[in-house]
Amino acid sequence: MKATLSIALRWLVKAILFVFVLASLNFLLIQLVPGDPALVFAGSSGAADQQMINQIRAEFHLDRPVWAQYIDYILRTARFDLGTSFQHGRPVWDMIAERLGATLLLTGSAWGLSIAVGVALGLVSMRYVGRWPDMLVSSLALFLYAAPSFWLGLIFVLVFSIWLGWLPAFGVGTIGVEHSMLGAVLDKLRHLILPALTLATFYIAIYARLMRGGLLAVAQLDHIKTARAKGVPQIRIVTHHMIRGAILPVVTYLGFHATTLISGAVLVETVFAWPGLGRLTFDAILQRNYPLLMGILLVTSVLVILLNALTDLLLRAVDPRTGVSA
Amino acid sequence: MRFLRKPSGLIGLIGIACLLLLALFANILAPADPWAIGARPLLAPLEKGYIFGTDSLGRDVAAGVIHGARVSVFIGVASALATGLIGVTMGLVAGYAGGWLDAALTRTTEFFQVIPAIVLAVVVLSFAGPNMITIILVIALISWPPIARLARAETMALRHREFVMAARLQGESRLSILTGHILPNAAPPLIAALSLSIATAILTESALAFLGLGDPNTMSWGYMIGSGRTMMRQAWWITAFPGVALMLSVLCINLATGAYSDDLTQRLTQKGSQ
Amino acid sequence: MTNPIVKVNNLSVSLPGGASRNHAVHDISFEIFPRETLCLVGESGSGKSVVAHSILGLLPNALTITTGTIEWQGRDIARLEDRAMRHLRGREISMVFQEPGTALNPLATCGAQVLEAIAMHEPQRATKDAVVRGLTEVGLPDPERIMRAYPFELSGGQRQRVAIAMALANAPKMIIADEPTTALDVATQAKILDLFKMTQNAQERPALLFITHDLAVVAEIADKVAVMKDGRIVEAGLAADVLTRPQHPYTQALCSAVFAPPRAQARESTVKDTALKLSGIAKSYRKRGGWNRKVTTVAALKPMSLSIARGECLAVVGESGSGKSTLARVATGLEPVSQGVIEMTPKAAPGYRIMTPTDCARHVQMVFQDPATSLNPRMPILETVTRGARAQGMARKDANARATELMRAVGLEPEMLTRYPAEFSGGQRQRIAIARALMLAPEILVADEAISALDVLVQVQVLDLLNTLRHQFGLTLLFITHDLRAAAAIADKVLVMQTGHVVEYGAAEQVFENPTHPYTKTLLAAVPGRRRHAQAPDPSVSCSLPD
Repeated sequence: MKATLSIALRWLVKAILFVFVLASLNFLLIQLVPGDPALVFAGSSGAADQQMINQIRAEFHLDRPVWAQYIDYILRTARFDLGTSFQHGRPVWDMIAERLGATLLLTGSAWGLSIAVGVALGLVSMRYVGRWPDMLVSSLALFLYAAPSFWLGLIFVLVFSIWLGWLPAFGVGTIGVEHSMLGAVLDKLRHLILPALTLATFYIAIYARLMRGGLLAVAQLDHIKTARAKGVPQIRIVTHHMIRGAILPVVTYLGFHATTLISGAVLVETVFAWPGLGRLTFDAILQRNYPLLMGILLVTSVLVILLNALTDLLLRAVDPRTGVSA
Repeated sequence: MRFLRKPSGLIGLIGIACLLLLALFANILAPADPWAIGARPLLAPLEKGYIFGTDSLGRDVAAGVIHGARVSVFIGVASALATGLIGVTMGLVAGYAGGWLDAALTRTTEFFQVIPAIVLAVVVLSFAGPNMITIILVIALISWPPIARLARAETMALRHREFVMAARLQGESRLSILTGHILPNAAPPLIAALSLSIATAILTESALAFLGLGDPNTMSWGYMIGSGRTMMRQAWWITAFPGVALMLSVLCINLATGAYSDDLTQRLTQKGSQ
Repeated sequence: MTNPIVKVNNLSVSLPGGASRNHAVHDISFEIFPRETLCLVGESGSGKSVVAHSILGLLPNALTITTGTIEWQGRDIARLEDRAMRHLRGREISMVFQEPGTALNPLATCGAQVLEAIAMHEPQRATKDAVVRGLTEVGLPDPERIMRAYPFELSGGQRQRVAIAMALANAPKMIIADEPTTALDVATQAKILDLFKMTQNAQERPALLFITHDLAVVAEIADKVAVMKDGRIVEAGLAADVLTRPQHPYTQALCSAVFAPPRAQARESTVKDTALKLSGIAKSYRKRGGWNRKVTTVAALKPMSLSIARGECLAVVGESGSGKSTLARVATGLEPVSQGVIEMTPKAAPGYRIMTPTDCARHVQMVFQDPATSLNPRMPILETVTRGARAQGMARKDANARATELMRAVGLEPEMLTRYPAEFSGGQRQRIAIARALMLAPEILVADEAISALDVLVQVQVLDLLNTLRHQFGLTLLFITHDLRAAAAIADKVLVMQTGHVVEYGAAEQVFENPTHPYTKTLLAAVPGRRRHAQAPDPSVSCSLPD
């Protein structure tokens, strides 16, 4: 228990240091932009009136020396004050916080889906290695791995929404229709399927290959031979001896997956008009809304650290060799 | 070049060759300017001689696909080179030097790996403005950490090999050891990883173009997919064909690279025999 | 007249295409009677391991039994399907493998693994007590702790005991042991061998098929022996007969390689000057802790002093962790000492000189242990051998000429210089490594376990080469090894090390005949074959033990 605590503490320190460095870099970025930062903040795509510019100056203390601005910026970040989105007239943190839930729902389902389906496909591949199910899974994995997610999403929409009409194309819920509790959940699920599937497909391919590779590698190991020499039946060999070892590359990859989940979400949410952080990012790009963009960068990075911390703890739990002293 | 004997490697290589041909001879294969607004808009595929149809402004989709190959190949290869330059140097130095230099470089690598790639790319491009150069640099910026980690791991493993120790004992300089002993032995997996990064670079560029952050002067596949998005119902072909081209290109690169690294691992495991 | 418990008849196992021969084993026949111990002896590639695996049907998919039968208590099990085979495995016949580090499941506790061995065949007997009993039987103290421990927390010897406990769990009628001591330390080897002998002393002992490359082990435990080469049995019979009166030339070569008495050293009567002097040398490593962990210091080499006379061969003997490799590293300047001074007298300059790392290249060179990794696989041999010399300023032409000359000196054709390491055998690669070391005409040559990774017969050849070159070039040789027999064959003086200390030092005959320190005595006693197995002295072949 003490070990887990010390590891968690290490991650916390890492996170704080990271935020500090990133916030500093953000600040640097702002300073590097040629021209009046106030105008930059006001947004290059919108007409900025003098009142807004004055407001910006006051809020960011742009009349004060640079180092004072820097300290001010860092302190504000520590207080979760990520500035104001002038184009909306609202604090950045609020705008992010209200979209966070939708993104977590989407990325969480995609994560779970990709792991479950990927591992299952990997097991199938291993069971029938060299025969047609294995070939099928491998070929499928190849295509899914190569297809760009945003395009795949559009194709899904084309096929399942437009041509077949089975599932809704956009949004998170059907508007203007009254639902019961169960109905609302089902409706949300129907809207979740396509985006989650799109976000998951790339990783299904990866986990299927990792699992298959892991199983094949473990099968070669000496301790499998020992188990057979003890008279252990094949089924038990797979469940008790092979899966635990083969799953290690999968668990290791989970951390890396977390990093790319958010990136993928940006694209998928844009395609499906899913009201999450990703969509917010897309809008912010169109509007050149820098405070919002930088706020999103900060928050998503912290999310990634959190997920990495969790997967690190998970890996240590699964593999006793990466114990405390490692 | 033994990996060509595997069917997957061969298919991959043929696909890459086709891609390269398209890119090189785009002007001959599709002499029409893809931006040219000539034909009737929204022609379906195979209508009036336009195999892939036309888009809402009457532009030839097939020409767009062929010229898009140019953009993809150029950005893919250039980004991979930039990524390799940064990543391999960082990794080699960190792996061989050890100590505080290694620690500092590793922390830097970790830092860049945590930031979600597309978000970082988007932020930087929003500030810097999208054009060929900035796009290539941004892609290198988000792609170098895995290469650096690989280079570092390989270097650290090689540093303790006996032939490296023998070279030190024989008085070879550090530079001589790095270039003569470490780099040639670390190269194969690095080449495989960099080849894969070409595919990733192509995908990233198209994602950025889809989001509206591509070079506005280039007709890239991502841009075409993005522009056809709002007309999926009426004209699915604007989105479909560039995407198929994307998928096939990436697929072929993956196949060829996969066959190459499979061959590598096979050779490594066989080498242990006396 | 009892029937044999296992009878192998004309067994042939094929290899996949592209291998050096098309059969792993060809026309193998032998039989083992109940409670008997048969040793299968051969070098690497002889196919002995394949025989062991085929009995239990554990061959990899690429290898198939083409002809022959394997009779277990009269029944042919050679092509038995897996499900039926399972009843035999672990119950009637069990197996112990070579690498204890990988043979156990790294993700399960030792107790769970032993329990599984019992539970597979006799579930009602699968209790914690049974596991404790099993672990105690194999000599493991504190079985409760071992039960809860994971394999990575145990030493090699302990892991092998756990593996043996698993094999003995169901009182099998036969145990197959595939080189179970090869991957262990000398002293641990002896202990594990003792364990096997103990099981053979019990009343209802199982038959034992013991695979090994070491004839001395055969002398210790075997009733019968079969010698294998290139997939065939070249000689077989009672151990006592084969070892004392070997008929086949291959067996004779093996015998003389293993049991040869130490070479009579050409004793120089004049006192020689000192070539290398280490004064008060110590080496510690600091293990970096994290921000919440302490920095620990590991003393690999405790303070010691040492002198080697010019032209002398000093053997440094010890087990892993004794510090002998560290000594090699600091002596060559690969790593700096933590304290103390290394001095060296080059032949050209009289008087002492302090050794700095840059001096080293010209005066001290090293031959490393692993022939597979001591040459850059991507460089042709000529480049590998001459690169260092050219870095020191030698002209390319001169370097090439010297390389040619040295290749001949080590017994290789100079035409081979254009080839790559992969095209040579292990023994040849070691010769190339020696040639490389001699390029800069060093005065001191350090051989760090230079022959340990080679086959027995090749070891003898390379050892001979080192001896010849020593006298030819007037080299001072520092020979690091864990193998006392090799040390005996080449050393003038011997230094024995244990956990970083020097425990004994003296002339070779002195140390081997009359060791003073208890550790030295343990090491000497642990050499297999030192302990008795009956033999008749035969002057024609030197197969008697140097006791």
